[in-house]
Amino acid sequence: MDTPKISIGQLFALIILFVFGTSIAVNYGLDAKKDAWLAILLGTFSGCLLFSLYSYLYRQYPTLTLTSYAQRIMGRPIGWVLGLVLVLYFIYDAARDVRDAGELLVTSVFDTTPIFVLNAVMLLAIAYVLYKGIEVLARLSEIFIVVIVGFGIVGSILVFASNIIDLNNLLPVLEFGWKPILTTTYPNTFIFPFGEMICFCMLFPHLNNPKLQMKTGLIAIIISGVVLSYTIAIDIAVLGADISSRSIFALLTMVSKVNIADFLQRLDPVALFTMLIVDFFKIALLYYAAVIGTAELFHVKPHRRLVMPVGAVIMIASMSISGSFNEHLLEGKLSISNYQVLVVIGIPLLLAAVHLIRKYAGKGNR
Amino acid sequence: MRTSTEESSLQEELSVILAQLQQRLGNSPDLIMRSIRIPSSPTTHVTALHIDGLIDKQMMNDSGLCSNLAGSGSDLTTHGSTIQEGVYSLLYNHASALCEVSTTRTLDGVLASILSGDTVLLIDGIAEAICCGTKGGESRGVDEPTTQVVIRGPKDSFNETLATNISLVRRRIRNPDLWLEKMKLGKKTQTEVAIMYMKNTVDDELVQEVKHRLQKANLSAVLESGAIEEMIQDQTATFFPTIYNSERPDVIAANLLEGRVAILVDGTPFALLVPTVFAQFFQSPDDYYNRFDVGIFLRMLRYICYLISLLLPSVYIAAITFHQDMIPTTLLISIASARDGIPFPAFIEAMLMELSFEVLREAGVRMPRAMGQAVSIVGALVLGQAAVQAGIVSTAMVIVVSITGIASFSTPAYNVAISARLIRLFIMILAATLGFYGILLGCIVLLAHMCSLKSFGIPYMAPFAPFRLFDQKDNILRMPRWSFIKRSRLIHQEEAAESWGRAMNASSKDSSDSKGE
Repeated sequence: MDTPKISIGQLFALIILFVFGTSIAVNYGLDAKKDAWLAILLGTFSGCLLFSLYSYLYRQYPTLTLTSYAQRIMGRPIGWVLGLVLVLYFIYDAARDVRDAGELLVTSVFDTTPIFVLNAVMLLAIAYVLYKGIEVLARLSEIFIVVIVGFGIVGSILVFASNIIDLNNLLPVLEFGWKPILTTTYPNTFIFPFGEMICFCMLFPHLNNPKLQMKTGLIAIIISGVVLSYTIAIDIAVLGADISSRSIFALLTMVSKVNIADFLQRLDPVALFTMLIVDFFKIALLYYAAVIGTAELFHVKPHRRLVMPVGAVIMIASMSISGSFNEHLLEGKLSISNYQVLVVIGIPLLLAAVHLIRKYAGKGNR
Repeated sequence: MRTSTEESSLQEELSVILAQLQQRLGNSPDLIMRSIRIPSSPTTHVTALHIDGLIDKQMMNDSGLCSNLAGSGSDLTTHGSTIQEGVYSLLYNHASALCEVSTTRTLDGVLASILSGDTVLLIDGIAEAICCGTKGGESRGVDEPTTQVVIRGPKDSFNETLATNISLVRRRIRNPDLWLEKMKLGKKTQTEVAIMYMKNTVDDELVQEVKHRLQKANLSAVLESGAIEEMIQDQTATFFPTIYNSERPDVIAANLLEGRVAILVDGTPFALLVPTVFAQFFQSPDDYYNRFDVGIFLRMLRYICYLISLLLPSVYIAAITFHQDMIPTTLLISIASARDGIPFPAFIEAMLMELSFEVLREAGVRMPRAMGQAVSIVGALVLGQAAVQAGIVSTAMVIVVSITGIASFSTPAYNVAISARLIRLFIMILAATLGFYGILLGCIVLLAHMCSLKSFGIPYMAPFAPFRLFDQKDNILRMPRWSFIKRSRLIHQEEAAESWGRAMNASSKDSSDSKGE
């Protein structure tokens, strides 16, 4: 088999797992207080637009990855630099997610274990999967999407059954008007996680059914956005906006409230596993994008040889990215509004614009 | 060992050839030579050669190969120009009426024939030997299967004779599409190996691939199908068997109908099936012979048991070592009081128990059957009880290890159950160092490994991943039979267009029809 193939179902599973990654764990969109769920829905809608832009670029170059067609569109030197920026972004983003997972574990269970060990083990596992190839990652996603859906259904039933939901916590809707929602959505819930989906541009050339790419992607984004919004809404309904936004991992706090007949008490592992599994896939996809991008920029073949080196870079970055978890979270917010916007929206927009100009200018010349 | 070509031809006088044969076989006493006198031509020497015990004596004596030949008194020269040629054609005609006959012109050919159970007729002055197929001799009868037991279903199983095994399969599929090819493998053992497949169901590429791999397998000895399995499997570095084996003719027949290829090896009751997917190891023929709801229940139970045998000790270790807060308080108190005074950490305790259980199990298999009872009493009852009373292991750990052990026996296929035993130890180490996080990562890596495996080009984890909705009817579930019938038609239409990967994994749909009959 020459090129690995990813089926539409696998793309669907990967997108859903990717969108859930970290966003379901960290307090996502809670800057909008109890209207966080609205901010997420708005972010989902904007994410669909952004995904259409990525899909458009993909349809122009169905056999190339983002870093390759950047060079095709912009010419070798500028395109190469843009590719490098993208690769650095993938590495940075992957490192952030590794750190998220590590902090989650340290906070919840492993308070005496060095975070270095937790991150390293996670990255080693991902490196093994990537070493086996993108096809294996795609197949893995098909198995774990079932696990995640199962966890979600069981968790929801238990939360509802334990009678801890107070819908009054969500009311009144739009207490402070649209302004806090808009400022949270743009850029926060928009870029994270929907803008990060730019890494899928490195994956699209492997699709076995390119025609369904856009439709599947949009459906997956909408479904995952709605489920995310639902999850955060439940967090708020159980805990109230105030406690939700002050707890480090709202989902974990919320789930620990579940108590059915004094027996089903500690559902934390279910929540923890969900967070770790989805984070695993998010890191894996970003890591893969970074490996492929580096391989294409520096002409390394086979790209497998870069799995360990890139992993080492991500590892070091995840440790040196910030001194504490609070610093890490704040830095995340700042980097999203200041730099990530430029990478995930600016670069594709620039590519699309230049592509269109060249296309029509070319036609005019003929 | 080979003599030169001149020597090995049959040009010499009969006595010289016989001497050479005896010398090549080291004057082995089980080489039987019988001189036959032809009454109408007393001067022509004819010798019949065979190896004692390899031939069907009944055929030799009663149907009277020799006596019948000797009784002929017709004019020999009408059969050929010389008397010797007359004798030759007379013998040839007689022999071919009694059994299948071939000829050879070399000494090596004669040796190969008699060693595989033929009777060879040598005629003085004729450079061609007649090999009569008199294969037979002692073999075990068709018994009940011992490794893959079912409660309801056929009770016959393969034995060590290739011809019997082939006939057991043929008896189940009376269809001219059931094709058979034979080859000899093993440079020293020259073992007969048969490849069986359904001509219009199987993908031709798969058959080619199987033949190619078998021919490429450079084996000196084939004493069991395990040797072949190891040489033709896709990947060696794995805990999981990627080739299924069975001693049940009904399983082989059902899988042939699904489009798989069976490899039957002379000398062993275990036939191989390729390609294999992981789900196959959890299917027992029972599932198809019982009602479908029972089938679904039993199959799910097996998957759960496999998970238990893989994970239970690790989950216990992780919960005791890292996540005590996740155990309900009352349960935690009783576990804590049971563990009170135990000198080892949970991991060491579990390892001790697991290892002693493995030792017991191995001893139980190797023991002479009469002593098996003693081992189980001393091992399980006395040792287990004493260990708990002495405060070396806790009762909770004994329970955990026992459940794990029993669960691991419920997998229908022994070779996949053994993989769980090995992997369990690794996951226990992960659980002892990183708790549930370690178990989770271990499971992800394990699944990734399984997803990367292939069996003759077919993904090992199909139809879970790559997911195929249609195949879920006979995967974890075993839907009622009418749903297979509908599907099998659908697949037949597809078959022409689809690549073989798809056709293979569509598996199991026709199986029910055949297995039930």
